[in-house]
Amino acid sequence: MPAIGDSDAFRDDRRVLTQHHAAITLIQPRLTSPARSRLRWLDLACGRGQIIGSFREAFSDEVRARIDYVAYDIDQHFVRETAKAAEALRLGSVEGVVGDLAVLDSIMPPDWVLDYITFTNTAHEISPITLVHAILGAFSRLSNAGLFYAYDMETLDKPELGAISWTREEIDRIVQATLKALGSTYQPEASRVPHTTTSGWSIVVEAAHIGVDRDEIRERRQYVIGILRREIDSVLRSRLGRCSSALQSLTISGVSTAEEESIKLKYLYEFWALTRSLEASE
Amino acid sequence: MRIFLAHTSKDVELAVALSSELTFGGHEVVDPFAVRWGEPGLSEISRAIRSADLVVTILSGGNANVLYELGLAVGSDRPVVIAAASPEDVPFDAASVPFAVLTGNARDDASEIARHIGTIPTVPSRLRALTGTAEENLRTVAHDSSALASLRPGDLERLLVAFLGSQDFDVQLPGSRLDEGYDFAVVAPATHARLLVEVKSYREHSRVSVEAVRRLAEAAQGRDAAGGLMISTSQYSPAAMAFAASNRVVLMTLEEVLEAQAHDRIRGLATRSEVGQPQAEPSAPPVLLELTRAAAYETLRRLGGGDTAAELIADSVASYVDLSWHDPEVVALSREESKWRRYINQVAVRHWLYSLREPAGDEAARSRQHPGEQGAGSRFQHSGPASSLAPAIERARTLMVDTMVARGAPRDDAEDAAQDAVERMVRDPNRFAERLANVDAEAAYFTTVAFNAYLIRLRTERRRRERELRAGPALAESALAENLGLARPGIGQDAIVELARDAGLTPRQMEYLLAVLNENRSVSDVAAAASSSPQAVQAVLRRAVHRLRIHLESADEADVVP
Repeated sequence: MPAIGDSDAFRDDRRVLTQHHAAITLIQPRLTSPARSRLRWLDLACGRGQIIGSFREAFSDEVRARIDYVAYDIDQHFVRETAKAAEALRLGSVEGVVGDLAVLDSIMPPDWVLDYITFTNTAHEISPITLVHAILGAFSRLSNAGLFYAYDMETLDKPELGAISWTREEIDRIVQATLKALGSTYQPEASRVPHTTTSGWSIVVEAAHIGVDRDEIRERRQYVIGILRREIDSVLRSRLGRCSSALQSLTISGVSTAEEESIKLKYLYEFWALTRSLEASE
Repeated sequence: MRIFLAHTSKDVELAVALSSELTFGGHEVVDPFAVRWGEPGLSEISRAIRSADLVVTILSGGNANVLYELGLAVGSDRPVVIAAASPEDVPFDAASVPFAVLTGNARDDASEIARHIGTIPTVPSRLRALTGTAEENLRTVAHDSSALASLRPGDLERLLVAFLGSQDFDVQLPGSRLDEGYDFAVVAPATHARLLVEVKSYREHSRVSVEAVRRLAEAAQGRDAAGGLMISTSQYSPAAMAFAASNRVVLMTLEEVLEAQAHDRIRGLATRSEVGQPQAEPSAPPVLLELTRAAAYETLRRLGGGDTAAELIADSVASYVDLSWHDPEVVALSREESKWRRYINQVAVRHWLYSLREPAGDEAARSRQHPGEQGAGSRFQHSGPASSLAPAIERARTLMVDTMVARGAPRDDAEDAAQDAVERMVRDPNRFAERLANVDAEAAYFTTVAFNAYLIRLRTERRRRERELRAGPALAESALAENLGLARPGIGQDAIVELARDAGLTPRQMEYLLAVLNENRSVSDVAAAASSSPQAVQAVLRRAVHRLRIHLESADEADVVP
């Protein structure tokens, strides 16, 4: 979902990223369950279809044929490219939806209920409030046994203008605040995914534990958005304070190590992204 | 310091400029281009690196030789300064090493690298087996980089957990084995306030960066902890320290944790939530204080101070800087090393001179004083921590006397003038500190001060004689008692003691004077009792008489003022 100009969708079929492998592993038992003949999978912010790149190796023809795949992105070229790649994999069905994540629930046909929703490598590219819209939209479209899986980097190796990456703790806070505002007592926990030079977070939410039906989620949407707006504002302001403090420290004391020399630029990117986001929310 | 300079032929201009600057600064520079290569050359390079006190690596274009030398330096635990045009040229594992950005201007780059070198203390290492208690092992690790290097991942954290646990802290380990942004937490028993603790096992010459501190601050906030406590085997970057001061994080080195008062400090932080509040009195960065201590120590040693006294005064200079850190002018001076060193030299000399005036009383200082450093035989008595600086005073005095005698002054007069000069310096340290701190001007300055004192003495003497001529032979030069006016009726020992104190006589002067005047002992007897020479005793008595006379005369003058 390229809401920021610096982002770039990635596709390399020879390489399976950890998060995509996790997405496949999570759904594998459901796909091969004798009790299930079809599974509707919504790939939010599908980009160029990296997540389906390894489908051929991951699933047999028979299992792939059980997947009803929906590619969703704001970029119609991406949707077209991903849908084309999905069709080549002989999936059960392939649909493409072009739209903003903020209007996810309203843009999709009313009768669509999804068994599996993936949301990978995107949270940093969208505005914080769009993130909440996307989460709520996903929750309101999950089937009773549906699964929501999200993953993103905690920090970006290559900074992107306007990108706000989230830590595991912050995502925990956002998701749990969302569920609480919905009236749920369910408290899923995000986990940290260590990589060589950075780390990511991932979270899995099972619809069965939310305990709030889809219509109720829609009814409470505005209320939840109001609560989450304040919650996120608090998170961002706190982070902006620390970012400013770090920049101020470097301004006054200077840079001493190579790590500080390179982090300086990231702080400046972060400062801009946070300022931009907070100004937009006012 | 012996400095190995790793560079490519492309950077020869910078290498020459840096070499020149470092050599001028008193360092010995080893250039790999001067070491023969080939099979034996490799071992020569290796030996040169291992024997160096510090290795400067100029990284440009990923040259294999330079990276090899960097690897050797890191592997042999030599302190390293890396210079490169961009931090991206620096290997990931060396990202926390002191780093100078190259601009392409050889002269500027050389100065910048030299500045970084100046901030790196070199500490000899020693290897000891880790077989003791957690505290003993931590002390070994804190002082021995090879012992630190021998630890397995997580060992240092385990040692700290055991140590802090033994200090009555409630230590909590995180539930997950994944990186939670902290290693463990300590909880204050009384309030249950929690500090998240992150341990950094860096090479001692590395610096913990602002980013690491920021991550801990975020972890602490995310878990509603009272704050963060970072413990590192290395120092922290200035930016890291500045950030920590206002972001609920306390930075400590391993050595600081082992200090007795550290436990109270950690406990206090956890209970009072002191962390995170902007400090009412900002503290100077520890790195700067180390630099300050080293510069002051160097100055005091140059002036002839003993090791212990120089250390004590260097400590007091560092404390002074720490207390003055709220002063923007002091902070501004610290931004330029040459200015800072000049300032520290002045402060050090001023503290030294002040310490000469201090009465004995610093028990801690005295107990730490090495007996061999007592100024035995010195012409001055110093009771403060600077007593071992007596050699410096003697050196200055000798210089003054010799110079004045060489220019025709009588030796006695020259000696008295030299003493006056030194006493003037001691009485007014601020006035003299600046010039004394400048090593180039030191000799000329001492001479000038002595001649001024000599002229003052001559003028005083002339006035005295003029008064004598007017007043008659009231003060005869031959008899000591008459000379001093002590033969007046009613003047006993107490009066003499009181008078001597008023005149500012030293304990030794007073002791000799009373021995001669009240006990009627000869100069030879006094000398034998004091294990000194009769000449030295006479000199002390002569100065005592001189001071008393000046005092009496000034008192007489004051008496006649309406």
